[in-house]
Amino acid sequence: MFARDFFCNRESLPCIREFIRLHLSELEDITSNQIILAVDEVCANAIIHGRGRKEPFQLKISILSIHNQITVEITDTAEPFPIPIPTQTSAAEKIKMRAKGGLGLVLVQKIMDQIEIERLPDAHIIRMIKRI
Amino acid sequence: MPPYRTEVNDTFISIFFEGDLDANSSIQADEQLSQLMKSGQYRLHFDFTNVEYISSAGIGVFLSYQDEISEKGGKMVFSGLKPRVFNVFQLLGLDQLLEITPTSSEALERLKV
Repeated sequence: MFARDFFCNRESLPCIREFIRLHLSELEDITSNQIILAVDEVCANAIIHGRGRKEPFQLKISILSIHNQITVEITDTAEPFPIPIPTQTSAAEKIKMRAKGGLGLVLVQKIMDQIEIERLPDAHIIRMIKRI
Repeated sequence: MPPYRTEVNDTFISIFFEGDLDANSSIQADEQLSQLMKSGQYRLHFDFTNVEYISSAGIGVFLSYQDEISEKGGKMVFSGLKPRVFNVFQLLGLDQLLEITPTSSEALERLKV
């Protein structure tokens, strides 16, 4: 398992993506990019929800690749986000609404085979599993 | 980051996006598109040849202008998407909703009046 802490701000997103990319080098490009995208979306969500907090905080990201299964854990102290139902936020509806956001977690659901949220007293862990 | 390079043609404008379009860098793209909308430019070619990565934040910028562009009788056409970038559009079903062409020349054909 590989793990690393990142400052929780928008400027960290390229570094987070690169960290994940380095540990998925054996996968084909599209699959690797999908997992990177899912992690990026969850981290961007945590960063946006954490903007109002005074204390600087970090995201801890770990990745484990074993038995054709990739497991990524993202630990942060932001408020847990609701998992949307994809059909409620289709891209066609977003176009009509002229909305800029709301598709990130739809992508996460489409990409990942399993998503678990574990709530701790002062943090929560989002665990995502992709079977290859 | 400076604004993305643009090329003004007779009937449309090409914008050459590059690098990663994520939750951070898409702010720049949004500002540039907003300016084009304000100046009444509704026929747009988005060249993605040098775009390496796009997240929902990047895609959201383009989607948010699609309805206004259609309403004004305009059109936006994407070209040159790398397979991994095109795959993100596919995951959201956008390959059926947006005009996406493999090459820049095909995009320009679609934008000619």
